[in-house]
Amino acid sequence: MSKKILEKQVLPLLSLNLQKIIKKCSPFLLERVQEIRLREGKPLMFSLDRGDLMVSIRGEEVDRLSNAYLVTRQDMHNTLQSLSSYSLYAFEEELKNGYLTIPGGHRVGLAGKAVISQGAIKLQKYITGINIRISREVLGAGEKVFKYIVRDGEPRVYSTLIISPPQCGKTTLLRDLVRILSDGFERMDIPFRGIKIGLVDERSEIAGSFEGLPQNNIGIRTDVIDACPKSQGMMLMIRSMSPQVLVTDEIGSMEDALAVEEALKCGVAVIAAAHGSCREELRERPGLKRLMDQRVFKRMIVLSNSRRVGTVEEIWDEDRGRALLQSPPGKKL
Amino acid sequence: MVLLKLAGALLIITSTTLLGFSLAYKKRERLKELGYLQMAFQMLISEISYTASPLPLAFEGIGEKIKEPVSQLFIKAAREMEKCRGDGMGEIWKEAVEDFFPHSSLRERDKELILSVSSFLGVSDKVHQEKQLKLLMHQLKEIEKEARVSLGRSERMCKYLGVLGGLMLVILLL
Repeated sequence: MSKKILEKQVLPLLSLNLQKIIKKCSPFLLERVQEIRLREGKPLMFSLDRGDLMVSIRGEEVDRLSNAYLVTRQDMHNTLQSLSSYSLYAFEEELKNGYLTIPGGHRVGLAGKAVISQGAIKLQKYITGINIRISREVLGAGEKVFKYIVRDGEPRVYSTLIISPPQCGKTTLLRDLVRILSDGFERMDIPFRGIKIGLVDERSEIAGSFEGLPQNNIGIRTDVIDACPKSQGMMLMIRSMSPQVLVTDEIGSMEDALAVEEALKCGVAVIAAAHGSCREELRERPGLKRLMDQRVFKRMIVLSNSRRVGTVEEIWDEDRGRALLQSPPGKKL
Repeated sequence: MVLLKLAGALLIITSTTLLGFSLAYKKRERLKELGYLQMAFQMLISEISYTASPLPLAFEGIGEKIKEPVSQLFIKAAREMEKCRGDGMGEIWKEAVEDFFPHSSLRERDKELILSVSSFLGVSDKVHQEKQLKLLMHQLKEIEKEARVSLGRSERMCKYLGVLGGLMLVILLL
Protein backbone atom coordinates (compact mmCIF):
# COMPACT_ATOMS: atom_id res chain seq x y z
CA MET A 1 0.00 0.00 0.00
CA SER A 2 2.57 2.46 1.16
CA LYS A 3 5.00 1.34 -1.51
CA LYS A 4 2.51 1.95 -4.28
CA ILE A 5 1.72 5.41 -3.01
CA LEU A 6 5.40 6.16 -2.74
CA GLU A 7 6.13 5.03 -6.28
CA LYS A 8 3.17 6.75 -7.84
CA GLN A 9 2.98 10.03 -6.01
CA VAL A 10 6.31 10.78 -4.42
CA LEU A 11 9.04 9.25 -6.55
CA PRO A 12 8.23 11.12 -9.77
CA LEU A 13 8.87 14.37 -7.95
CA LEU A 14 12.42 13.55 -6.94
CA SER A 15 15.56 14.14 -8.96
CA LEU A 16 16.39 11.44 -11.48
CA ASN A 17 19.31 10.15 -9.43
CA LEU A 18 17.20 9.75 -6.34
CA GLN A 19 14.41 8.14 -8.33
CA LYS A 20 16.85 5.51 -9.56
CA ILE A 21 18.24 4.80 -6.13
CA ILE A 22 14.90 4.53 -4.40
CA LYS A 23 13.55 2.27 -7.13
CA LYS A 24 16.31 -0.17 -6.25
CA CYS A 25 15.28 -0.35 -2.60
CA SER A 26 13.60 -3.52 -1.40
CA PRO A 27 9.79 -3.50 -1.34
CA PHE A 28 9.94 -4.46 2.32
CA LEU A 29 11.82 -1.25 3.10
CA LEU A 30 9.68 0.99 0.92
CA GLU A 31 6.55 -0.34 2.59
CA ARG A 32 7.78 1.08 5.88
CA VAL A 33 9.18 4.44 4.88
CA GLN A 34 7.59 7.32 6.76
CA GLU A 35 9.88 10.11 5.71
CA ILE A 36 12.45 10.65 3.01
CA ARG A 37 15.10 13.07 4.19
CA LEU A 38 17.34 14.98 1.86
CA ARG A 39 20.09 17.19 3.18
CA GLU A 40 22.62 18.69 0.84
CA GLY A 41 25.97 16.90 1.10
CA LYS A 42 24.57 14.49 3.67
CA PRO A 43 23.45 10.89 3.26
CA LEU A 44 20.08 10.03 1.81
CA MET A 45 18.00 8.83 4.74
CA PHE A 46 14.65 7.22 5.41
CA SER A 47 12.73 7.51 8.64
CA LEU A 48 10.89 4.43 9.79
CA ASP A 49 9.11 3.32 12.93
CA ARG A 50 12.32 2.01 14.36
CA GLY A 51 14.39 5.11 13.64
CA ASP A 52 16.23 6.29 10.59
CA LEU A 53 18.62 4.61 8.21
CA MET A 54 21.07 5.55 5.49
CA VAL A 55 20.73 4.36 1.92
CA SER A 56 23.53 3.47 -0.46
CA ILE A 57 23.66 4.22 -4.17
CA ARG A 58 22.45 0.66 -4.80
CA GLY A 59 19.38 1.27 -2.68
CA GLU A 60 20.57 -0.82 0.25
CA GLU A 61 20.39 0.02 3.89
CA VAL A 62 23.91 0.79 5.16
CA ASP A 63 25.42 1.49 8.57
CA ARG A 64 28.55 3.34 7.56
CA LEU A 65 28.44 6.91 6.42
CA SER A 66 31.14 6.21 3.85
CA ASN A 67 28.89 3.73 2.04
CA ALA A 68 25.84 5.96 1.95
CA TYR A 69 24.74 7.98 -1.03
CA LEU A 70 25.39 11.66 -0.41
CA VAL A 71 22.70 13.96 -1.69
CA THR A 72 24.19 16.44 -4.16
CA ARG A 73 23.36 20.04 -4.77
CA GLN A 74 22.00 18.97 -8.16
CA ASP A 75 19.65 16.51 -6.44
CA MET A 76 18.35 19.22 -4.15
CA HIS A 77 17.96 21.66 -6.99
CA ASN A 78 16.14 19.29 -9.31
CA THR A 79 13.93 17.93 -6.58
CA LEU A 80 12.95 21.40 -5.51
CA GLN A 81 12.17 22.39 -9.10
CA SER A 82 10.11 19.29 -9.59
CA LEU A 83 8.25 19.68 -6.32
CA SER A 84 7.33 23.23 -7.22
CA SER A 85 6.42 22.38 -10.85
CA TYR A 86 9.44 24.42 -11.88
CA SER A 87 7.74 27.49 -10.44
CA LEU A 88 8.99 28.55 -7.04
CA TYR A 89 7.26 31.90 -7.42
CA ALA A 90 3.92 30.08 -7.24
CA PHE A 91 4.82 28.80 -3.78
CA GLU A 92 5.93 31.95 -2.01
CA GLU A 93 3.50 31.51 0.83
CA GLU A 94 4.51 27.88 1.22
CA LEU A 95 8.21 28.72 1.25
CA LYS A 96 7.50 31.27 3.92
CA ASN A 97 5.73 28.69 6.06
CA GLY A 98 8.38 26.11 5.34
CA TYR A 99 6.31 23.38 3.74
CA LEU A 100 4.20 22.55 0.76
CA THR A 101 1.69 19.83 0.07
CA ILE A 102 1.96 17.71 -3.04
CA PRO A 103 -0.81 15.69 -4.72
CA GLY A 104 -1.66 12.78 -2.50
CA GLY A 105 -1.49 14.96 0.59
CA HIS A 106 2.15 14.33 1.34
CA ARG A 107 3.83 17.14 3.15
CA VAL A 108 7.21 18.41 2.11
CA GLY A 109 9.12 20.37 4.74
CA LEU A 110 11.75 22.83 3.55
CA ALA A 111 14.62 24.44 5.37
CA GLY A 112 17.06 26.91 3.94
CA LYS A 113 18.14 30.48 4.41
CA ALA A 114 15.34 32.72 5.57
CA VAL A 115 14.89 36.09 3.93
CA ILE A 116 13.56 38.45 6.54
CA SER A 117 11.49 41.50 5.81
CA GLN A 118 10.16 43.67 8.62
CA GLY A 119 10.84 41.09 11.26
CA ALA A 120 8.96 38.25 9.58
CA ILE A 121 10.14 35.52 7.25
CA LYS A 122 9.45 36.68 3.73
CA LEU A 123 10.64 33.54 2.02
CA GLN A 124 13.38 30.96 2.09
CA LYS A 125 16.17 30.53 -0.39
CA TYR A 126 19.10 28.13 -0.72
CA ILE A 127 17.00 25.21 0.42
CA THR A 128 19.37 22.65 1.92
CA GLY A 129 16.97 20.39 3.75
CA ILE A 130 13.92 18.63 2.34
CA ASN A 131 11.76 16.28 4.34
CA ILE A 132 9.05 14.39 2.51
CA ARG A 133 6.49 12.89 4.85
CA ILE A 134 4.55 10.11 3.27
CA SER A 135 0.99 10.57 4.28
CA ARG A 136 -0.76 7.32 4.73
CA GLU A 137 -4.41 6.91 4.93
CA VAL A 138 -5.13 4.04 7.23
CA LEU A 139 -8.79 3.40 6.66
CA GLY A 140 -10.09 1.79 9.80
CA ALA A 141 -7.57 3.38 12.15
CA GLY A 142 -10.37 5.16 13.98
CA GLU A 143 -12.81 2.28 14.24
CA LYS A 144 -11.48 1.10 17.57
CA VAL A 145 -11.77 4.42 19.36
CA PHE A 146 -14.85 5.59 17.52
CA LYS A 147 -17.31 4.00 19.94
CA TYR A 148 -15.76 5.80 22.89
CA ILE A 149 -16.38 9.28 21.54
CA VAL A 150 -19.98 9.02 20.33
CA ARG A 151 -22.88 9.58 22.67
CA ASP A 152 -25.10 6.57 23.13
CA GLY A 153 -28.06 6.54 20.80
CA GLU A 154 -27.50 10.07 19.59
CA PRO A 155 -25.90 11.34 16.44
CA ARG A 156 -23.55 13.44 18.55
CA VAL A 157 -20.01 13.13 19.71
CA TYR A 158 -18.05 14.19 22.76
CA SER A 159 -15.42 16.87 22.39
CA THR A 160 -12.22 14.92 22.16
CA LEU A 161 -8.55 15.65 22.40
CA ILE A 162 -6.00 13.32 20.87
CA ILE A 163 -2.68 13.53 22.69
CA SER A 164 0.41 12.11 21.08
CA PRO A 165 4.08 12.74 20.44
CA PRO A 166 5.03 13.40 16.81
CA GLN A 167 5.06 10.44 14.44
CA CYS A 168 2.64 8.33 16.46
CA GLY A 169 -0.31 8.41 14.10
CA LYS A 170 -2.14 11.39 15.52
CA THR A 171 -3.11 12.84 12.17
CA THR A 172 -3.91 9.43 10.73
CA LEU A 173 -6.32 8.73 13.58
CA LEU A 174 -7.88 12.16 13.31
CA ARG A 175 -8.38 11.75 9.58
CA ASP A 176 -10.01 8.37 9.91
CA LEU A 177 -12.29 9.59 12.69
CA VAL A 178 -13.38 12.40 10.41
CA ARG A 179 -14.17 9.91 7.68
CA ILE A 180 -16.16 7.60 9.97
CA LEU A 181 -18.10 10.38 11.68
CA SER A 182 -18.87 12.01 8.37
CA ASP A 183 -19.89 8.89 6.45
CA GLY A 184 -21.66 7.28 9.35
CA PHE A 185 -21.13 3.81 10.69
CA GLU A 186 -23.36 0.91 9.98
CA ARG A 187 -22.41 -1.78 12.43
CA MET A 188 -25.24 -3.32 14.35
CA ASP A 189 -23.89 -2.65 17.82
CA ILE A 190 -23.14 1.04 17.24
CA PRO A 191 -25.18 2.40 14.35
CA PHE A 192 -24.26 6.01 13.72
CA ARG A 193 -25.69 8.38 11.20
CA GLY A 194 -23.09 10.66 9.68
CA ILE A 195 -22.85 14.21 10.94
CA LYS A 196 -21.68 17.47 9.39
CA ILE A 197 -18.03 18.11 9.98
CA GLY A 198 -16.07 21.30 9.57
CA LEU A 199 -12.43 20.51 9.06
CA VAL A 200 -9.96 23.31 9.63
CA ASP A 201 -6.84 21.97 8.00
CA GLU A 202 -4.22 24.58 8.69
CA ARG A 203 -1.30 22.48 7.52
CA SER A 204 -3.09 20.56 4.78
CA GLU A 205 -2.25 17.32 6.51
CA ILE A 206 -5.61 15.87 7.36
CA ALA A 207 -7.38 16.24 4.04
CA GLY A 208 -4.14 16.61 2.13
CA SER A 209 -5.70 19.19 -0.15
CA PHE A 210 -4.00 20.06 -3.38
CA GLU A 211 -5.32 23.22 -4.98
CA GLY A 212 -8.14 23.12 -2.46
CA LEU A 213 -9.38 19.64 -3.32
CA PRO A 214 -9.01 16.98 -0.59
CA GLN A 215 -6.85 14.08 -1.72
CA ASN A 216 -7.69 11.84 1.19
CA ASN A 217 -10.97 10.20 1.98
CA ILE A 218 -12.51 12.41 4.63
CA GLY A 219 -16.14 11.42 4.26
CA ILE A 220 -19.19 12.76 2.51
CA ARG A 221 -20.35 15.33 5.06
CA THR A 222 -17.04 17.10 5.56
CA ASP A 223 -16.32 20.68 4.54
CA VAL A 224 -12.67 21.61 4.46
CA ILE A 225 -11.06 24.96 4.82
CA ASP A 226 -7.51 24.46 3.71
CA ALA A 227 -4.36 26.23 4.89
CA CYS A 228 -6.32 28.58 7.10
CA PRO A 229 -5.18 29.66 10.58
CA LYS A 230 -7.07 27.53 13.10
CA SER A 231 -8.80 30.21 15.13
CA GLN A 232 -10.03 32.14 12.10
CA GLY A 233 -10.95 28.97 10.25
CA MET A 234 -13.02 27.68 13.15
CA MET A 235 -15.02 30.89 13.40
CA LEU A 236 -15.51 30.93 9.66
CA MET A 237 -16.81 27.39 9.69
CA ILE A 238 -19.24 28.05 12.53
CA ARG A 239 -20.59 31.15 10.84
CA SER A 240 -20.93 29.75 7.37
CA MET A 241 -21.12 25.97 7.29
CA SER A 242 -23.09 25.05 10.45
CA PRO A 243 -20.93 22.05 11.38
CA GLN A 244 -21.89 19.68 14.20
CA VAL A 245 -18.27 18.88 14.87
CA LEU A 246 -15.20 20.98 14.25
CA VAL A 247 -11.99 19.11 13.66
CA THR A 248 -8.56 20.61 13.77
CA ASP A 249 -4.99 19.51 14.14
CA GLU A 250 -2.46 20.46 16.80
CA ILE A 251 -3.95 23.10 19.01
CA GLY A 252 -1.80 24.75 21.63
CA SER A 253 -1.81 28.53 21.71
CA MET A 254 -4.12 30.76 23.71
CA GLU A 255 -5.76 31.86 20.48
CA ASP A 256 -6.62 28.28 19.63
CA ALA A 257 -8.03 27.76 23.10
CA LEU A 258 -10.28 30.79 22.80
CA ALA A 259 -11.53 29.59 19.43
CA VAL A 260 -12.32 26.17 20.87
CA GLU A 261 -14.23 27.79 23.72
CA GLU A 262 -16.15 29.90 21.29
CA ALA A 263 -17.08 26.85 19.26
CA LEU A 264 -18.32 25.04 22.35
CA LYS A 265 -20.46 28.01 23.28
CA CYS A 266 -22.11 27.69 19.90
CA GLY A 267 -22.92 24.09 20.69
CA VAL A 268 -20.39 22.63 18.32
CA ALA A 269 -18.25 19.74 19.51
CA VAL A 270 -14.53 19.94 18.85
CA ILE A 271 -12.15 17.14 18.02
CA ALA A 272 -8.55 18.27 18.12
CA ALA A 273 -5.06 16.95 18.53
CA ALA A 274 -2.17 18.19 20.63
CA HIS A 275 1.48 17.30 20.98
CA GLY A 276 2.34 15.59 24.23
CA SER A 277 3.00 12.20 25.71
CA CYS A 278 0.47 12.21 28.56
CA ARG A 279 -2.44 14.25 29.87
CA GLU A 280 -0.48 15.97 32.64
CA GLU A 281 2.07 17.31 30.20
CA LEU A 282 -0.52 19.46 28.47
CA ARG A 283 -0.94 21.68 31.52
CA GLU A 284 2.45 23.18 30.86
CA ARG A 285 1.02 25.10 27.96
CA PRO A 286 -1.22 28.02 28.91
CA GLY A 287 -3.74 27.57 26.11
CA LEU A 288 -4.25 23.90 26.79
CA LYS A 289 -4.18 24.41 30.54
CA ARG A 290 -7.09 26.80 30.22
CA LEU A 291 -9.06 24.22 28.28
CA MET A 292 -8.14 21.44 30.71
CA ASP A 293 -9.16 23.55 33.70
CA GLN A 294 -12.55 24.11 32.14
CA ARG A 295 -12.85 20.41 31.42
CA VAL A 296 -13.71 21.16 27.86
CA PHE A 297 -12.64 17.84 26.40
CA LYS A 298 -14.87 15.03 27.56
CA ARG A 299 -12.65 12.37 26.04
CA MET A 300 -8.90 12.25 25.78
CA ILE A 301 -7.08 9.71 23.71
CA VAL A 302 -3.38 9.18 24.38
CA LEU A 303 -1.32 7.62 21.61
CA SER A 304 2.21 6.26 21.51
CA ASN A 305 4.26 4.04 19.28
CA SER A 306 5.22 1.63 22.06
CA ARG A 307 3.98 -1.41 20.15
CA ARG A 308 3.49 0.13 16.74
CA VAL A 309 2.48 3.47 15.34
CA GLY A 310 -0.89 4.50 16.66
CA THR A 311 -0.98 2.39 19.83
CA VAL A 312 -3.82 3.65 21.99
CA GLU A 313 -2.40 4.00 25.49
CA GLU A 314 -5.46 5.41 27.18
CA ILE A 315 -8.92 6.75 26.59
CA TRP A 316 -9.92 9.05 29.39
CA ASP A 317 -13.44 9.98 30.40
CA GLU A 318 -13.25 13.46 31.90
CA ASP A 319 -16.79 13.50 33.34
CA ARG A 320 -16.34 10.34 35.34
CA GLY A 321 -12.67 10.93 35.95
CA ARG A 322 -11.54 7.49 34.90
CA ALA A 323 -10.00 5.68 31.99
CA LEU A 324 -12.36 3.85 29.65
CA LEU A 325 -9.53 1.96 28.07
CA GLN A 326 -5.99 1.50 29.16
CA SER A 327 -3.19 -0.44 27.60
CA PRO A 328 -1.73 -3.12 29.92
CA PRO A 329 0.94 -1.44 32.06
CA GLY A 330 3.45 -4.20 31.53
CA LYS A 331 3.68 -3.46 27.86
CA LYS A 332 4.28 0.25 28.27
CA LEU A 333 7.65 1.64 27.45
CA MET B 1 22.18 23.62 -78.41
CA VAL B 2 21.23 27.24 -78.00
CA LEU B 3 17.89 26.15 -76.72
CA LEU B 4 19.54 23.96 -74.09
CA LYS B 5 21.79 26.80 -72.96
CA LEU B 6 18.81 29.11 -72.71
CA ALA B 7 16.94 26.61 -70.59
CA GLY B 8 19.96 26.16 -68.32
CA ALA B 9 20.38 29.90 -67.90
CA LEU B 10 16.72 30.29 -67.08
CA LEU B 11 16.98 27.54 -64.49
CA ILE B 12 19.96 29.19 -62.81
CA ILE B 13 18.33 32.57 -62.69
CA THR B 14 15.08 31.20 -61.29
CA SER B 15 16.82 29.27 -58.56
CA THR B 16 19.06 32.12 -57.41
CA THR B 17 16.09 34.46 -57.48
CA LEU B 18 14.12 32.08 -55.34
CA LEU B 19 17.07 31.78 -52.99
CA GLY B 20 17.23 35.56 -52.67
CA PHE B 21 13.53 35.81 -52.03
CA SER B 22 13.54 33.06 -49.45
CA LEU B 23 16.40 34.76 -47.62
CA ALA B 24 14.39 37.94 -47.61
CA TYR B 25 11.34 36.04 -46.41
CA LYS B 26 13.34 34.51 -43.60
CA LYS B 27 14.42 37.92 -42.41
CA ARG B 28 10.83 39.08 -42.37
CA GLU B 29 9.77 35.92 -40.54
CA ARG B 30 12.46 36.44 -37.93
CA LEU B 31 11.05 39.86 -37.23
CA LYS B 32 7.61 38.35 -36.78
CA GLU B 33 8.88 35.64 -34.49
CA LEU B 34 10.73 38.17 -32.36
CA GLY B 35 7.38 39.91 -32.00
CA TYR B 36 5.61 36.70 -31.00
CA LEU B 37 8.31 35.91 -28.49
CA GLN B 38 7.80 39.26 -26.86
CA MET B 39 4.08 38.67 -26.76
CA ALA B 40 4.63 35.28 -25.18
CA PHE B 41 6.93 36.59 -22.47
CA GLN B 42 4.58 39.48 -21.83
CA MET B 43 1.84 36.93 -21.18
CA LEU B 44 4.20 35.01 -18.93
CA ILE B 45 4.88 38.12 -16.91
CA SER B 46 1.20 38.64 -16.26
CA GLU B 47 0.63 34.95 -15.53
CA ILE B 48 3.40 35.05 -12.97
CA SER B 49 2.68 38.32 -11.28
CA TYR B 50 -1.13 38.25 -11.21
CA THR B 51 -2.21 34.65 -11.02
CA ALA B 52 1.06 33.01 -9.96
CA SER B 53 0.14 30.00 -12.07
CA PRO B 54 2.91 27.43 -12.27
CA LEU B 55 4.97 27.28 -15.45
CA PRO B 56 3.45 24.15 -17.03
CA LEU B 57 0.01 25.72 -16.86
CA ALA B 58 1.21 29.13 -17.97
CA PHE B 59 3.18 27.67 -20.87
CA GLU B 60 0.22 25.67 -22.08
CA GLY B 61 -1.93 28.78 -22.10
CA ILE B 62 0.72 30.71 -23.99
CA GLY B 63 1.18 27.87 -26.45
CA GLU B 64 -2.50 28.00 -27.27
CA LYS B 65 -2.61 31.73 -27.82
CA ILE B 66 0.64 32.39 -29.69
CA LYS B 67 1.11 31.57 -33.37
CA GLU B 68 3.33 28.86 -34.81
CA PRO B 69 6.19 28.18 -34.63
CA VAL B 70 6.84 30.07 -31.39
CA SER B 71 3.93 28.23 -29.79
CA GLN B 72 5.81 24.94 -30.24
CA LEU B 73 8.52 26.11 -27.90
CA PHE B 74 6.08 26.59 -25.05
CA ILE B 75 3.92 23.57 -25.76
CA LYS B 76 6.94 21.29 -25.88
CA ALA B 77 8.37 22.71 -22.65
CA ALA B 78 5.03 22.36 -20.86
CA ARG B 79 4.70 18.77 -22.01
CA GLU B 80 8.20 17.88 -20.86
CA MET B 81 7.68 19.52 -17.48
CA GLU B 82 4.64 17.38 -16.84
CA LYS B 83 6.58 14.21 -17.48
CA CYS B 84 8.28 14.21 -14.07
CA ARG B 85 11.69 13.59 -15.55
CA GLY B 86 13.55 14.55 -12.43
CA ASP B 87 15.95 16.97 -14.05
CA GLY B 88 16.11 20.73 -14.04
CA MET B 89 14.47 23.48 -15.99
CA GLY B 90 17.76 23.98 -17.83
CA GLU B 91 17.62 20.63 -19.61
CA ILE B 92 13.94 20.85 -20.40
CA TRP B 93 14.17 24.34 -21.84
CA LYS B 94 17.23 23.48 -23.85
CA GLU B 95 15.45 20.52 -25.40
CA ALA B 96 12.43 22.61 -26.23
CA VAL B 97 14.60 25.29 -27.83
CA GLU B 98 16.57 22.76 -29.87
CA ASP B 99 13.33 21.21 -31.02
CA PHE B 100 11.90 24.53 -31.98
CA PHE B 101 14.86 26.00 -33.79
CA PRO B 102 14.79 23.99 -37.02
CA HIS B 103 11.26 25.30 -37.58
CA SER B 104 12.12 28.85 -36.83
CA SER B 105 13.74 31.69 -38.72
CA LEU B 106 15.56 33.03 -35.72
CA ARG B 107 19.30 33.41 -35.71
CA GLU B 108 21.99 31.82 -33.60
CA ARG B 109 22.35 34.90 -31.43
CA ASP B 110 18.62 34.96 -30.75
CA LYS B 111 18.95 31.38 -29.62
CA GLU B 112 21.54 32.31 -27.02
CA LEU B 113 19.15 34.84 -25.57
CA ILE B 114 16.23 32.43 -25.48
CA LEU B 115 18.39 29.74 -23.90
CA SER B 116 19.43 32.14 -21.14
CA VAL B 117 15.82 32.22 -19.93
CA SER B 118 16.16 28.91 -18.13
CA SER B 119 18.80 30.30 -15.81
CA PHE B 120 16.22 32.32 -13.91
CA LEU B 121 12.81 31.01 -14.90
CA GLY B 122 10.94 29.60 -11.93
CA VAL B 123 13.75 29.65 -9.44
CA SER B 124 12.95 32.82 -7.54
CA ASP B 125 10.08 34.90 -6.22
CA LYS B 126 7.56 36.84 -8.26
CA VAL B 127 9.29 40.19 -8.04
CA HIS B 128 12.56 38.78 -9.26
CA GLN B 129 10.90 36.79 -12.05
CA GLU B 130 9.16 39.90 -13.24
CA LYS B 131 12.38 41.89 -13.25
CA GLN B 132 14.27 39.24 -15.17
CA LEU B 133 11.51 38.81 -17.72
CA LYS B 134 11.29 42.56 -18.24
CA LEU B 135 15.01 42.64 -18.89
CA LEU B 136 14.58 39.85 -21.40
CA MET B 137 11.75 41.75 -23.10
CA HIS B 138 14.00 44.76 -23.33
CA GLN B 139 16.72 42.73 -24.99
CA LEU B 140 14.26 41.19 -27.42
CA LYS B 141 12.96 44.65 -28.26
CA GLU B 142 16.46 45.87 -29.01
CA ILE B 143 17.12 42.94 -31.31
CA GLU B 144 13.80 43.51 -33.02
CA LYS B 145 14.59 47.18 -33.54
CA GLU B 146 17.94 46.35 -35.09
CA ALA B 147 16.36 43.73 -37.30
CA ARG B 148 13.68 46.14 -38.42
CA VAL B 149 16.18 48.83 -39.36
CA SER B 150 18.29 46.45 -41.38
CA LEU B 151 15.33 44.66 -42.88
CA GLY B 152 14.39 47.39 -45.40
CA ARG B 153 17.86 47.43 -46.89
CA SER B 154 18.77 43.81 -46.65
CA GLU B 155 15.44 42.52 -47.88
CA ARG B 156 15.76 44.42 -51.12
CA MET B 157 19.42 43.51 -51.33
CA CYS B 158 18.67 39.83 -50.97
CA LYS B 159 16.12 39.96 -53.77
CA TYR B 160 18.40 41.95 -56.12
CA LEU B 161 21.38 39.82 -55.31
CA GLY B 162 19.39 36.73 -56.10
CA VAL B 163 18.40 37.96 -59.56
CA LEU B 164 21.69 39.66 -60.39
CA GLY B 165 23.78 36.84 -58.98
CA GLY B 166 21.94 34.45 -61.24
CA LEU B 167 22.53 36.68 -64.23
CA MET B 168 26.21 36.95 -63.44
CA LEU B 169 26.57 33.23 -63.12
CA VAL B 170 24.91 32.78 -66.47
CA ILE B 171 27.24 35.31 -68.14
CA LEU B 172 30.26 33.65 -66.61
CA LEU B 173 29.18 30.26 -67.80
CA LEU B 174 28.32 31.39 -71.32
